[in-house]
Amino acid sequence: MKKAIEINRRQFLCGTGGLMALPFLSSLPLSIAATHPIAKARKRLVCVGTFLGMYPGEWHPKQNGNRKPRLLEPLMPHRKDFTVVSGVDHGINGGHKGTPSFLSGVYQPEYIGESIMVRNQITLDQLAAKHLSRDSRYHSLQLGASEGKPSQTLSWDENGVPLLPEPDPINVFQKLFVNDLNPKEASRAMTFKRSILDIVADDARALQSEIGYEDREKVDAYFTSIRDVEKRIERQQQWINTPKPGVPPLMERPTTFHENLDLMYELTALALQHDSTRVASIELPAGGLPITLGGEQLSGYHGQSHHGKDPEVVEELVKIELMHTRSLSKFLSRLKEIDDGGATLFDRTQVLFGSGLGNGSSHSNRNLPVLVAGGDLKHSGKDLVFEEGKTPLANVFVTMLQSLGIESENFAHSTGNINNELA
Amino acid sequence: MDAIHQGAIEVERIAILLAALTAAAVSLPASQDFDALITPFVEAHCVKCHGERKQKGDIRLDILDRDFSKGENAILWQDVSDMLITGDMPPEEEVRPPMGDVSQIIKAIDTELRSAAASMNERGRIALRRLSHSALDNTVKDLLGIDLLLSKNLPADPDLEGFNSLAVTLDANPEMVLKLQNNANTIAKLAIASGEDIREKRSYSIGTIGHGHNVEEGREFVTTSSSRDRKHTMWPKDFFVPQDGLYRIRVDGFARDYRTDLEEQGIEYTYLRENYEQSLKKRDRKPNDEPRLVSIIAIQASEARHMDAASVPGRRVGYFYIGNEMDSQYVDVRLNKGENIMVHYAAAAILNQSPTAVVEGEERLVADLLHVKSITVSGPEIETWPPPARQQLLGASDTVPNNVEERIGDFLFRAFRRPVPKNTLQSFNLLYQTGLDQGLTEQESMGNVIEGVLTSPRFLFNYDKGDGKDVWALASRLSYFLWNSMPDNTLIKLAENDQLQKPRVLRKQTARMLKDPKTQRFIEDFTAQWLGLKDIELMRPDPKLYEDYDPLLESLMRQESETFFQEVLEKNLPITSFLDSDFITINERLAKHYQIEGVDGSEFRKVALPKDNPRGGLLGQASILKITSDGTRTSPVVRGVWILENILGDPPSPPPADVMPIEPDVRGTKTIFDMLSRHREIETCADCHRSIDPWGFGLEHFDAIGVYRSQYRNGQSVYAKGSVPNGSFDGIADMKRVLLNRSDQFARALTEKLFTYALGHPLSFQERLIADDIAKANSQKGGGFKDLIIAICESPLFRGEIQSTQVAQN
Repeated sequence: MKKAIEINRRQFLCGTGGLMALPFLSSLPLSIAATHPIAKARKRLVCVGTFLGMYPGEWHPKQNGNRKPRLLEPLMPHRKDFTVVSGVDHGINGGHKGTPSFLSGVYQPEYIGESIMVRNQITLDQLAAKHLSRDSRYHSLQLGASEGKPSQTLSWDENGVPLLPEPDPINVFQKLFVNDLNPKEASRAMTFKRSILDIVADDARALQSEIGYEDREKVDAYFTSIRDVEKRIERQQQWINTPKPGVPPLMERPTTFHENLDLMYELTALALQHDSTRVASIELPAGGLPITLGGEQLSGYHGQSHHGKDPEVVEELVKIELMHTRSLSKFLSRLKEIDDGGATLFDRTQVLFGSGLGNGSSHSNRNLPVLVAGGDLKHSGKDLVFEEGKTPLANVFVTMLQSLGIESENFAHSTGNINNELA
Repeated sequence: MDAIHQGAIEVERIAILLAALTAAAVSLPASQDFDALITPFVEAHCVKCHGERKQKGDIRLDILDRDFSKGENAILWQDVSDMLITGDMPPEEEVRPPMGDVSQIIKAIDTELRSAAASMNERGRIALRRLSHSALDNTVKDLLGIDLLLSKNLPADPDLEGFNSLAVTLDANPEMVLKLQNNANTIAKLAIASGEDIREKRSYSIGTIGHGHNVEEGREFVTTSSSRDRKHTMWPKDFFVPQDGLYRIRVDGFARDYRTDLEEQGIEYTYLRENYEQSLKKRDRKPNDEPRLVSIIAIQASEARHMDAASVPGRRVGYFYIGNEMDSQYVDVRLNKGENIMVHYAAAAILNQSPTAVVEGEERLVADLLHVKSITVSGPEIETWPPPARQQLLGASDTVPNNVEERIGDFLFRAFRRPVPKNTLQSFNLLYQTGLDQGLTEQESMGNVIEGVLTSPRFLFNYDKGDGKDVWALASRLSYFLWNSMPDNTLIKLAENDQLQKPRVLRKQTARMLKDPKTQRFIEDFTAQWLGLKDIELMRPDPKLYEDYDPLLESLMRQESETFFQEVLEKNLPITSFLDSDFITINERLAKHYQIEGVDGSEFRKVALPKDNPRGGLLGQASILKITSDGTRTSPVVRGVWILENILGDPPSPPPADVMPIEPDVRGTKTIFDMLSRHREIETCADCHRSIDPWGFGLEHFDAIGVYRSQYRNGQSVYAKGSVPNGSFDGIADMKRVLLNRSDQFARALTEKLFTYALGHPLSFQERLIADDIAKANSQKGGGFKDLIIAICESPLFRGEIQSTQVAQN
């Protein structure tokens, strides 16, 4: 086996800033770089979603009189740069099943005979990636603090297909920073992949004439998918000779939920810095890696979310969720450290943190936890409190999209925007 | 309602003709007769809740269209009839209509349904269906003889009625095709490989077993205490997985509490750390005859070394219980290239430091200990070497055979499960030739062919031409139903000779197939969906509340249900066994979970139940009780819905959008019965919950992991009473009696589920009539489960035959 240089993970985490001495734009293919003046600032979006919500009693401002919500305390160093938006949701029910609507705004039951099938739709990050990531190596990244179940997925594509997050930082690292050993060979392999798809596509056409007309739609969807995949391979192939940014190797996987989350945040920051992509989503699923606090392993995150108002259990839940916001706070700090040609990466990156679950204990999908930070949005250090049930969360998304430079008047069931408050 | 239509009718239209003979024997009532009969009944018994003023459950009956030739009306009337048959409507508190009236109405609706079905002269069809994830993997295994997952990382398909293998939900999308091709590429490379056999068996023992610093090496054994960190783990030194695949990990050793042994022998021990005595004492000590869990963890090969980390990295890929005397246990696990494995022991107290004590002058580990003599890794699992597909396509030797074209043709025929059009054959041959022309080796180029085959729509989709004569479609339908995989040579031969569609042949083949071990795949796949066992890993029980729970127990629970299903099927037991049985199928670990004595060993076996033991049937099985709980507490609502959906075939409508869920409050002494009081007190809730909650309450004596209880944690007695239209009960034994009275309803529900699974779509009203007739006929013949499946396979509906499909008139 090849021996790689081994460095301590923590070194990797804190030491990367100094080691990134790559010139700006060095990771863009020349053709694209040439048409891309630095002046045109690149906008990015990072969406973070917890599957089990955030304990409402310590999240929403003013839920406890004037006492500051404890879950926001770790974020206080950034107080002037984020806004908590309260009282917004997608107006749906479904508990855990409805949670993946967080970024799509839709929990769409489809009737088939007497049965109901739920389909999701394109999520905010995927829609944004279509516009923002045209010139970057990757369309978008889906990362996970831990392995999640498909039903917990945060990002969904335009076909309503869940895009499973990658929970293994080594795989993410490979994808972002490890070059093909033999680009020529890799490119040749891709050419063969495309010619195989060509034959398959032709055969899909031929098959159409052998089956009933009612079945043709499915085969047609397959045909279209093949064509789409060919385009994706083509995009990969165009990038194959462009070296990936060099960063120190990553040898060791973290063994706890939050260490892994922190590393995912770090990889996201690096990916954005080097323009490997401009859109990422990070999922905090209901379980998987152990959650530890001060060496002590906390049991059953999902169990805690069903606290049944038992004060001891609520306290444990808040402890876990405080780790979520601490990690987020570190990520925001990290983005502020990185220079992005005249501004900080934070100034060019919208960060959305929240959940499709409003209250894990009652399984309510109302009054969701939502926090937006960074980007061109107007943060005044004050939080927004909307009257519950009046303002769809999708209105917030419309404002976010517009601020990212994406012309769009609506998203899912939006009824307008909150430009007055946030833009 | 329009949406209902477009889905149901277009997708599942089936034409049903009435045999003239039967038709002549029964006089069809004219529609006016139906009107004359139904109007006064609806007026008298239904309109109060389903009329102009109120439309409970969104149902209005006074103006429900009586034109049965429209499918949506037929479906609704079929529901009305169901309600009357089961006695669920009119509700208890209303005046009961005279029995004679009810049966007259049921009969009239049935007659209308049947004559509507008969007059709908459309072409019936079974929709094109993509292979489900499990079907993809099984087919690869049967086609190529290697055990790699074509479904790896593919996006999950949506659920419909608990099924994830129905035509309408099995989509093709770019995300799926992209990953499918990548997987196909990996699989093809292995399938066509030659040269040195990559299958290996390596054994590791003292000296070659690597381990963390807190592990002790003795003369024969490597010994570790129970812990949660990697200082206590061990691994085969320098092993790394050469190829993705299925590997068998065998561990020879044993585990027991050394303290107990020393104390029994009267030998003194003194811990080096004073506080150890105390902290170890605080934890419950496991008796030595209790099973101890060992886990196998997959890690990157480079991670197999000592580190002072507080937790263990990697994926938990397998578990087994190890005995307290020298034992040999194995588990088959899926590993990725470049990985190694760790053996991890966390069965007892979790210690951060080594529990080292002085025993007879020597420093030794004194605690609950795992002693490992050897670790053996063998794999990857491949039928033969070179792999079967290699031998078929390019021969086993290095000399390329001269009939490659013919070999490709045979391969495509098997992979596509029907004769291959000339053009398709040509393009795949061209793909092979082009590869060679561009400098690929024969092996590489043939790899491309296999990759193309696995990515081809002809491989991915099963379809029926719909002319009633598509015998290839029938062969695939049968084998994907009973084996969840491609047809074997016998079925292909019968299809080729145009024999398979004959009921006699089908009957014989079904019986043959059900004896094949591949039936296990049907059992796993069908129970995963029907019973919801695929979700058993969701919502892991809170370890604080359920200390005895472990991940292996979870898979044993699932195995119990599968083994039980297999027993009922193999022995052709009556399907009412699913409702109640005088036996269960368990092993030692489950016996302990169920507090049943005298079951030793890990193999599952049939155990006769004492008379008043509550475990018989599906509802006493821990798997079912676990998946219907949320990991912390039981929910009568979830359990009630489960029974209605899966046992009674009567799923309740989803909760209305404007109802806010109840937030549980465990402060104070409220019981679940109190918490659900709103379901009874508020009318809008009560409408539905009166038919849901009672079934769930009947199971309250089982906690969230299926252990029997008579009290809740707070000391209050369990409330397990329920009342449903045809009976009331207190506790599970009572409730099973009520369910057995509804065994006809269960027979219909199960038959409909089987048909849905076999055909790949939710049944239309016409198909339901046929399914219900089959259920009824089967019940009259003793209700044998195997008989039922054979009856399904030989039915015209399953055969896809149109002309002879008929709905019997009552």
